[in-house]
Amino acid sequence: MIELKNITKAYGGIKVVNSIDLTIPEGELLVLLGESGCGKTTTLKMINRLIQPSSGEVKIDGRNNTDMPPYELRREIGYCFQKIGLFPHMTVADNIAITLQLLNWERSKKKERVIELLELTELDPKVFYHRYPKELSGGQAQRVAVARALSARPKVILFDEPFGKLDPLNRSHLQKEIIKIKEKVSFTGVFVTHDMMEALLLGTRIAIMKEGSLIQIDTPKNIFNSPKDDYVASLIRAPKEQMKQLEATLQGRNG
Amino acid sequence: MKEQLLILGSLFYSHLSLSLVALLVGTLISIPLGIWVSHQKKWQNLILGLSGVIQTIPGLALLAIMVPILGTLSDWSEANFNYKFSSIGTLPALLALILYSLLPILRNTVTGIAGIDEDLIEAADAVGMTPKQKLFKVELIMAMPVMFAGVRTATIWVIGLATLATPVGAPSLGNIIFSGLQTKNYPLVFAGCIAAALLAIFFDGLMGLLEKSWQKRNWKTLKGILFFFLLLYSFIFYKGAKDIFFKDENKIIIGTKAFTEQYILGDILKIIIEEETPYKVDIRKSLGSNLLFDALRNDQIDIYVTYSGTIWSTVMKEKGLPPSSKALLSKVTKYVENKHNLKVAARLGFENKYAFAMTKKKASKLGIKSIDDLKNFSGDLKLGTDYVFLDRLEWKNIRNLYNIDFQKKIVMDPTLMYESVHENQVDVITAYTSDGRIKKYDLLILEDDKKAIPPYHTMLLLSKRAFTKRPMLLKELKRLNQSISLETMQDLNFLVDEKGKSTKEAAKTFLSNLKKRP
Repeated sequence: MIELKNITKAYGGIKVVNSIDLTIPEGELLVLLGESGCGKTTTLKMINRLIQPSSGEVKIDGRNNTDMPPYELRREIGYCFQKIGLFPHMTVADNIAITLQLLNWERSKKKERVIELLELTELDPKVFYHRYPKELSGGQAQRVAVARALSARPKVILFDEPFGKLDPLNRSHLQKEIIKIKEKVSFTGVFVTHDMMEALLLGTRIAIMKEGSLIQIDTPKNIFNSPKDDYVASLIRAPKEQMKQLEATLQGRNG
Repeated sequence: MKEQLLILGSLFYSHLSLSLVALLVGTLISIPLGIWVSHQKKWQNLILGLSGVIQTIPGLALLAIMVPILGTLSDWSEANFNYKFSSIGTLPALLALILYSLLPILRNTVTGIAGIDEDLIEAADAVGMTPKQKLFKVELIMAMPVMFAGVRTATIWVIGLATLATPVGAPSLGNIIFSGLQTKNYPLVFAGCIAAALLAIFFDGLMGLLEKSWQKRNWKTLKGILFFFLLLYSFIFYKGAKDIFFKDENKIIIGTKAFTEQYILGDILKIIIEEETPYKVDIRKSLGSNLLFDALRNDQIDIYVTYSGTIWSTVMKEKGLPPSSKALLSKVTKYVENKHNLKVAARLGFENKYAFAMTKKKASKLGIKSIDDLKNFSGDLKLGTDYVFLDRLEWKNIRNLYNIDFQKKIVMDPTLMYESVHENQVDVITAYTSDGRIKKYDLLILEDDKKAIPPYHTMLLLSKRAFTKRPMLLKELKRLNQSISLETMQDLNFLVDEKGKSTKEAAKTFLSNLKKRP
């Protein structure tokens, strides 16, 4: 369980995150949705202390996240972001096992775990184990990054627009994979995106942010059917209209 | 030839070891410093700025300035801890080279670390690395190629600059370049330059190979190169320690200034001492003129040849008009013997002083015999002079006493002055009276009626250690008293400067003539 209590981040008097209260129960995948600059990534990064909040506190399973040094905290939290950030001088296997190495896992256990994770993310260990990041496609690299986030069996995983840069086909593959992984492995997740379709597809609940504040938090179904205000409605409308337009266009062509 | 090769070999080794030790220390200082300032933004500009300032100091000046700085430190350390260290030789050269190597390595470490992809830093933090793990597992490895480039730049700079270690008393390939230039032995100059360049190219290439094998994960080559460096450094440090702790106390060290006459006199002294006494001699050639007196005073050298006027004006810092020749000589002797406990072992018998000289042809055409006659042509004639004359007391005195000046004063290398006046490119030069080329080009020395130029009697100075603990030395060297006439010295200089003889051959010529005399 993750609890954000009255959390605020201000840069030079400007509040980019404004007193947010949020509780994410165990096993939930909460999607933080909003336009760029709404404070969703800042909120996410305050959970694993990549950003220090100006005020308020974050608790994970009841423990304040400042109770331990940041590096110990982060070893218990998976992190997967858009820029991928694989270490170019390490093989795929070493990249996936990096947190395990920091935690001093035994060599054989590490290897076993890496192979397990490669299989989970649908990368053939025989092909990819010894490869270097520059030998991977964008989709493959992001799979490796997902595997790295999962490696130490964290109870919490943070996703910061992980599929934002991928082509639609790869994105949809990886979205389905996250759903599959979520069924096999239990974790509490926070997933930042600006893509409503992705949010509806992945989220147990969706939290919509605007200008640093939380506007509505509910299940995808409820958000879709009863948006709280015009802003949320406009976010829902976009994919709906796209669908209609697509249907109309295709029908027009067929006819 | 064999001996020359041996000398070249030993200079090559000195050059190599000096450069490599400076580079090692420089790298060990600047990489940690660079890492530190990378994470301390407020110090970054200050430190980079400071090392940039060091870089703008001309190499020769940086080396030369280390000597007085170390001298002051040594005096202070002697006063407080009763410990003296050498202010000439390897130490100042090493310090200057270390300072010079800092900037490229420091700057490249900082830019290398600053240039790392932010995503990798974020990933390193997010996977749970401590700051130290982040530094060693990510930052340094990512910055390595840029840091390597910095070390390679420093390597080339330091090996090149080490040729300038000669004037502060550290032997290097600069020794043969300096003396080759003075004695017009251009093959020697060439050999020195080529050897230094080869050294630089070799080590730059080796570093390049090291980097490449690291990039390509070719551990075998990498280990091979590292092992080579390990061996080389072990040898250098072993030999260095041996030289420091088992100093050959029987060695006599002669210092010379950087011109032909001094090299010849140095060789004469060496031959006499090695033939007549049990002592071995090392010559430190081409030392800075201002360095020698302090070096002698501090027992860092044992013998050198100087000139009374030099001591009077640059060491005693006397100003104004010089006293009579005899009075000046006795003042100088008193000063060095009583005030500094040194010994004037002999006065060689000739003077090497500044003198205005012209071709006899032009002098008679213009009717000039003395400096005083120049005033009729004040503003029409061109003067060719060396690097220091115009800043010296002589020039000040001449201007004041004779009230003359020149249309143009052209500063040039002393070796070129004589040819320029001969070829009419200048009208008057500030010749050195013992130079053989005065005779060759048939130059007229202008009379100094008003005695503006102090006398420059050639004197042999011994350090306190040398004359108290090596009595044989004084006894042998005393024989040189009044043994070299002005004409003899001119002839010897001529042999080297114009006839292409080595300084050693000139020395032998002199000594064989000396023996023939009763």
